[in-house]
Amino acid sequence: MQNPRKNVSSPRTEKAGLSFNAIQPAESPSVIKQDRFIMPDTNQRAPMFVEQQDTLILPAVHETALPLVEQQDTLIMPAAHKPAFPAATQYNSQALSTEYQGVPPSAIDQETMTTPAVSQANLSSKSAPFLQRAAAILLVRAKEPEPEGWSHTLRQRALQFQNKPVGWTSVVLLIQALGVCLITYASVASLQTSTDQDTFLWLGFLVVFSPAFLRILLPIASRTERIVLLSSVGLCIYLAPQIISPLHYVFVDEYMHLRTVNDIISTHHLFADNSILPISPLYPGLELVTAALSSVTGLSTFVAGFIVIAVARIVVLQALFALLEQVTRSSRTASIAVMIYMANSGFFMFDSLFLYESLGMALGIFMIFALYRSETTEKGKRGFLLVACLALGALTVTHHVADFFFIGLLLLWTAVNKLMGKPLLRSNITLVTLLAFLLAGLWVFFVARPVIGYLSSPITAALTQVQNILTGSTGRQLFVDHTGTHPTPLWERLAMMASLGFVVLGLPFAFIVIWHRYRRKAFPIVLAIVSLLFPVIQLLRLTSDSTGLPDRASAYLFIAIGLALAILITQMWPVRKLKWQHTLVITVIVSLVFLGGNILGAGPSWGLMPGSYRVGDDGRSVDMQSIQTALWALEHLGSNNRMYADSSNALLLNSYGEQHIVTMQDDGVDIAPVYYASTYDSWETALLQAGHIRYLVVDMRLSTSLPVKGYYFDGTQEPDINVTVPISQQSLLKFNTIQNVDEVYNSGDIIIYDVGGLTNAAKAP
Amino acid sequence: MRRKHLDLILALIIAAINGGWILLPNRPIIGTLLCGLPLILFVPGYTLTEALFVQQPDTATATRTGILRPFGASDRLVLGFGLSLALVIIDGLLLSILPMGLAQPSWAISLAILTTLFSLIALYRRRAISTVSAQKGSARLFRFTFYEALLFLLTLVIVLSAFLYSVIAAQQQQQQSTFTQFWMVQAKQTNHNCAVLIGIQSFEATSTHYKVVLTANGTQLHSWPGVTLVPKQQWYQSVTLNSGDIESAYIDARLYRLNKPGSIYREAHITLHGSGGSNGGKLVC
Repeated sequence: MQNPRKNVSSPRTEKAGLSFNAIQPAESPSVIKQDRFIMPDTNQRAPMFVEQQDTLILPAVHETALPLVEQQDTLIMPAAHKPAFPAATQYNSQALSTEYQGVPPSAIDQETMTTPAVSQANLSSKSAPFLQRAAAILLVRAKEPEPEGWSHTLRQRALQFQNKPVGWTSVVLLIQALGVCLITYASVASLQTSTDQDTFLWLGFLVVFSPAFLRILLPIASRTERIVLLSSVGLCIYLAPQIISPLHYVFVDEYMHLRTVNDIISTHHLFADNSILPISPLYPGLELVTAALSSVTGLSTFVAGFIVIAVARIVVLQALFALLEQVTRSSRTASIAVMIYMANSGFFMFDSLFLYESLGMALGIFMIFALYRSETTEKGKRGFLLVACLALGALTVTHHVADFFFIGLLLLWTAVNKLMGKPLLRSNITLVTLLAFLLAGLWVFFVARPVIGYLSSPITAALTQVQNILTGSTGRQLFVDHTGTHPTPLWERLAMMASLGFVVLGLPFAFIVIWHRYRRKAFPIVLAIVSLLFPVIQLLRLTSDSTGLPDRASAYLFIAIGLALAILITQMWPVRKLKWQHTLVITVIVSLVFLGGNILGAGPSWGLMPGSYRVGDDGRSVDMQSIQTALWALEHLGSNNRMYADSSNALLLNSYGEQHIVTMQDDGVDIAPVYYASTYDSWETALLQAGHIRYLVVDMRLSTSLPVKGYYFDGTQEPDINVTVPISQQSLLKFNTIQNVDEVYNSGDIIIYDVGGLTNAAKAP
Repeated sequence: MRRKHLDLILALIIAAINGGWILLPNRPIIGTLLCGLPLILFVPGYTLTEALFVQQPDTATATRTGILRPFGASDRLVLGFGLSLALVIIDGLLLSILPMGLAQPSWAISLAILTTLFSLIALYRRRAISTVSAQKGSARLFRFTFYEALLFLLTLVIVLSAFLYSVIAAQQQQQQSTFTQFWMVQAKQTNHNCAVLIGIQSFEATSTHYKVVLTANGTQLHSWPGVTLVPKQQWYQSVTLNSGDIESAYIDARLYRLNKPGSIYREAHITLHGSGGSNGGKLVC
């Protein structure tokens, strides 16, 4: 039976598939994507475009010059071929031209090119220096219009897998489960041996991430498979902090938000005072959802918060995937971008925690996703616009930094749109940008005025430190803690530096590629610009900035970096040229970026892994005795008594105990010096009276060692900062001997003193 | 008809159960979870999505294989979750300014009303859409073979087991840190200001025997020689001082462990003061 594809007579012969050995009709101006195309020697009129054949054989007696021959897997040009080499011979995997006598005007990016000796001197690409050739390849591949174009073989395989949308997902998920087991082993071994087994933690991370990335990098994976794998990697990494600390929060700020949730549940209203984090009640989005879930289901606030952040994590990943898929029109590029997004230094720790930023990030990305859809879709524009506005409204009251970042992004998007000559007044982006400004302005002016001081002070401090570093006056010693006894392992240092190095190195190339590929689309250009902020922000790592601005910014910047690097990967290694060696190398590099980024954000291993009690060390300072003390205080002393305690006990008394912790930030009084003094004098009474303190909480364990974080008490002035010797037992026990001071509670290590007799401070009603 | 609108009918049932749930005095925890979780995290957003996007927007893109990617199930899931989070926050802001506030009934009723409203709008807008197009896009999202399903199940079991193991290990470690709380506060009694409340709560690893001695201004008032507490058990006593013409009393309580009777294990002390006023600053007992 004759092949129906033979003797095709059409102006454009494309995607014919299978074998094609026939005589090419003379009238066909383009011959594209045949498996095997033999140019007939009787052909008098050359096709305009001859591209993407698996094999192209040019006959010896073919008389006509070809204008463009590109993207063949194999190009065979016989020795006696008379016309000049095609005007542009590029992207061919193999170009064979033994004893060929002509002079090719350009020969770019063949995988293998065999040319006769007489032609070598004329091949500019071969004789040019390496950098020049690399630049030429970069530019050519950057302009590749269809990097996701499949070969015929791949198409055939895809058709086979069409009925298996989940593909290899089940196997990859099983491997990821083994990764979770490694994370659990690291945690339990650390707990039982009191040694940091974080190597197994990071190994577990690699086992979770690398197989999924490898699968996602392959063009054959279905969209469903990509969606499932993105969610599974995100959730496995989300589980890691919960496995490390399954009974309590792992980070101090989580307790501060817990207090706001408890206040909402107990008072049924918003904006109750939270002395440790006064800004938290003013941005109550996370606490509202958690309180709603806890109230309606009866779950504890701890479990409700865990579920809410898990859902936020899903929304972040899936909304980002959907957004970038719309931008790039490729689920493969989008899923690679989201996997690279997971390499941001906040992904494992900061954005997995019960913090308002975790939800703010989800709402922000969701808002941008809806807005982009409203711009690109033909039907449902208004629906998506409404979705974007609702998400924006929720974002405004959820997290200040996330809100301000996405406002900035909207503003830049509007500006780029304007520069591209798009009508601003008819654009949904302009409308939403104006709305974002209005909502943020109203919220800050009427509700959250303290946010200005809250945000400006750390930024000012960080900038001052940068200025000091640039002038050479101060700096920070990297990879050591405050006690100087826990150096970061060498391999972790190398991983972190390699991660930063690969990202910083890749960004300029990514920018060039995006510029060539997407210069007429505003949003990719906006993200490319944003991604360039990353190297600048890394300067702050050299400062002793305690707020961790580079890590905090990383979560936002990686939205752009993910896309930029994913486009760089897909353009530089188009699907048709992707070999297993490339796939392996890319997987190794991206896994390293992921690992290094997350090690960077997790902080030092001694502060990460669980173990026995340690002084002044966030999660490790929270133990049963401290929690039970806080609960006792709530039960027997009532709530909202004015108290003072060391940083760990203060957190627990504030959250579980619902007490008002007197702070420098909220009350303007620093009580810490009272603890340091070895004897009791009248100035201490004056200080306690100034703070209207009713109860002092003393943890005798403070005298056993220096605080790992570098300070015993939060938000204090000297001498607590840069303390060099542990606080003495005598200083802590002095309250026992003071008249009018009652010792109302004693659990061995923790004592609560009632100093109402000194200060005349009343108990809370 | 029922099959075509099964999702919305389910949403209405969840809304109705949550709305009516609050009338029940004893709610089963499983039922509360099964209905409460979707009401907060998914259903309001999903029903609003259905109300807004009855006609699937034409955002489909074709792959090389010619497979269309419509605005399908995965996008609806994202919209459902994302919108629900946004709606709960906005709903919470509105509830907080109402007198009923953010209590459990107000959350349940307001979200049930929103869900019902969105579902009804979606039902109304769907009336012209054929069954085939309404179901399109979600049919082939997940289709497993038996072995794939088995592997998924195995994965789930491994992950849950690993997490539970970490919980058990953390609990065991927590139990290794043992302590005893001992406390004394002024008792809240009307017309009295000379009563104290003494308490012990044991967090020791095993059953522990204690002795408590209470003195007032150096004179022993009470002694409890045999207090035995199992782990987490609490003991407390309210003690009223004898009447006396005194302005203040220094009350000292000491806790001993019977296996070490010579050394004080814990100590607490408070000073009771007269309240002034009609009794001339004397303690009223």
